[in-house]
Amino acid sequence: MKTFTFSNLGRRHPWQNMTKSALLLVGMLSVPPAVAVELSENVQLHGFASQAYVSTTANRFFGPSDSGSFDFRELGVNLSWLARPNLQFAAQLGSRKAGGTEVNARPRFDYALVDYTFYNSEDNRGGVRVGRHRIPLGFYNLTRDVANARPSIFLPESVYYDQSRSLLLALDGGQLYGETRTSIGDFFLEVGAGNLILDSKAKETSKATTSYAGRLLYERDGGRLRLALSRIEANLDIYQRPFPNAKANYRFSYILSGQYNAEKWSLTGEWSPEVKSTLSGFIVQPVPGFVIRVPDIKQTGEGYYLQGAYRFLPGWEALLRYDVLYNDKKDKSGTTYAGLGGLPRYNNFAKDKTVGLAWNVRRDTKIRAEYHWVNGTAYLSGRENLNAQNTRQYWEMFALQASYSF
Amino acid sequence: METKRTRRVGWKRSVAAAGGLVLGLLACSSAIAVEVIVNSDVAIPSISQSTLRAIFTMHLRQWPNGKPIKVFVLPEDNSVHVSFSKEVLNTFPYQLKRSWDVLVYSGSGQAPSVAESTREMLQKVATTPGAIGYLPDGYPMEGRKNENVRIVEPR
Repeated sequence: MKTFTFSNLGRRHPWQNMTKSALLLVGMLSVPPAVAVELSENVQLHGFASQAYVSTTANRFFGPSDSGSFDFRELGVNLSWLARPNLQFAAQLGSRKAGGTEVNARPRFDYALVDYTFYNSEDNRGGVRVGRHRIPLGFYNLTRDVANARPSIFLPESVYYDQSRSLLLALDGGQLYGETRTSIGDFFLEVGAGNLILDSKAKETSKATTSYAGRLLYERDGGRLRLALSRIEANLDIYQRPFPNAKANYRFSYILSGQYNAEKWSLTGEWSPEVKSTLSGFIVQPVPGFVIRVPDIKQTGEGYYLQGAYRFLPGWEALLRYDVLYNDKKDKSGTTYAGLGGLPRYNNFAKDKTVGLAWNVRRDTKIRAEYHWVNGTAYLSGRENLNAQNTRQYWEMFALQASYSF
Repeated sequence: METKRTRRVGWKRSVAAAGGLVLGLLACSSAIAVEVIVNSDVAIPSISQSTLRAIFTMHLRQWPNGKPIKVFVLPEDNSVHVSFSKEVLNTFPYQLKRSWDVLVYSGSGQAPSVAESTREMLQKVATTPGAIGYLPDGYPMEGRKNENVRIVEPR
C-alpha cells in the first residue's frame, strides 16, 4: 500500500491548480461580508459557494482524486419573500459538481415552496409547506449542500450516503409541520409526502411514486441537548423495458440522532440501524413469450457515526469522527457478497476515521482541512471507480476546502 | 466603545436558573449585562426566556396582536451578542447561527436583520415598527430616540 505524504501530494497536482484555488479564495475574500442581503422589506437573498481540493492515496472520490482533484464545488442562491408574517415564498437554485458522481452540474431547484403558518401562538405553531420541500433527515440533511453549515467537508457517509444524496434531498409534494415549546423542552415535527427528484439519467429508467419522510426533533435548553427520530420511505418504479412492473424501494426504517452542545465542544452521534432496499418485479425473457420472474432482491444496510467537535479558540474548530457503513448488516465482512458477484468483499463496508480542522477566516468564510483513514470502499461511486478490482481496501484521503455563505 | 462592561450579571432570572456551575464559568469570562429592547409600539410588559428564544431563533414571527416581529441582532462575534446569547437566551451564538442556517437554506424562514453596532441597533429598533433587539445594560438612551424604544422585563 502506498503511503500518503505531503511531498507526493505536491508532486501529484500541477501548481496551476494551486493558483486556480488561490484565485478562488481571493475572490471569495474580496466580496464584502454580508449576513443577509435584504433586497427590500421582507425579501432576502442568500447564497453559498465552496471549492475543495481532494487527494487520495488510491481510489477516486469526487473526481480523479488519486492524482489530486479540484472537481468538488458547490454553488447556490436563494430568495425568500415573507409576504405576510404567516406566509412565505422561497426558492433555491443550486449547482453541484462532485467529480463523476453527479450527472452534471446544471443548476436545479433545491427547493421551491410556499410556507403557510395556519396556527401561531406564543408556545405553539402549525403550518404547511407546499411544493418542493427539503427532506428533514437526521441533523444535517436540510443543509447538506451548504459547506458552512456542515460539521466537516464531507458528511459522514454512514447516514448521509452520497450515492443516494440526490434522491433524498427533497420531495415534490406537501409537508405538515408543528412545533411546541414546553417546560421540558421544544418539540418540532415535520411529516411530508411527495415524489422524489430524479436527475435526467434516472428519469430514463425510473419514475418517482409517492414517498414519505418525517422527523421528530426535541431540543432542550436552546439546543444544549438535541434528539431526533427520522424516517423516510423512498419509492421508485422502474419502467424500462423489459421490466414493465419493476419497483425499487429504499427505506430508512428510522434514524436516531443525538447531540450535546456545550460552549466549547459538541458531541454528535447518529445511527441508522436499518436501511432497507428492495428491488422487485424484475423478469428475464430468454426467448420472446417466455418469462422468468427474478426473486426480489432485498438488502438491509446499517450505519452509524460518533463525532466530537472542539472549539478551542474563537473561530477555530477541531473535529474527530468515527464513521461506519455496512451495505448488508447480515454480511458485514462482505464474504457472501464477494462469493456471489466476484467483487471485492471490502466493497460491502467502509470504516472511516476522520480528523479535521476548520478556521473562520471571516464571519462568512471558512477554510477546512481534513484527513480520512478508510478501510473499505462501500461509499465510493461506481461511476468513478469503474473497475472494482482496481480499488484498494485501505486508503487515505486529504481534503482542503474554502467556503463562503451569506 | 459605547458598551459598559461589568462583572455584575443583570439578568437575575437566568442566573438563578443556571445554578452554581454556570456562575463559576461566568466568573471566568467577562459577561456583559444585556437588556432586551422593543419598539414602543410593542405593547408587552414582560417576556419569558422561552418566548425570547422562539423570537430570536426566528420561529415566532408575530406579536400577540398579530403584527409582524422584526428581529435585530448584532454580529455573531460581537461581545454583546455573545453575552445576549448566553445570559439572556441560555444558548450559544453558534446554536443561533445553526437555527438561522436551517431556515435560510431550506426555505422555511428568514434570518434576522443585522445591526453592525449598538448605535445602529438603537436606531433600527427605534425606527422599525414591531422591532425587537438588545443593548448593553445602562446604554445611554437619552434624547429623541429613547421615546421610541422600551426596555422589556424578563418574566
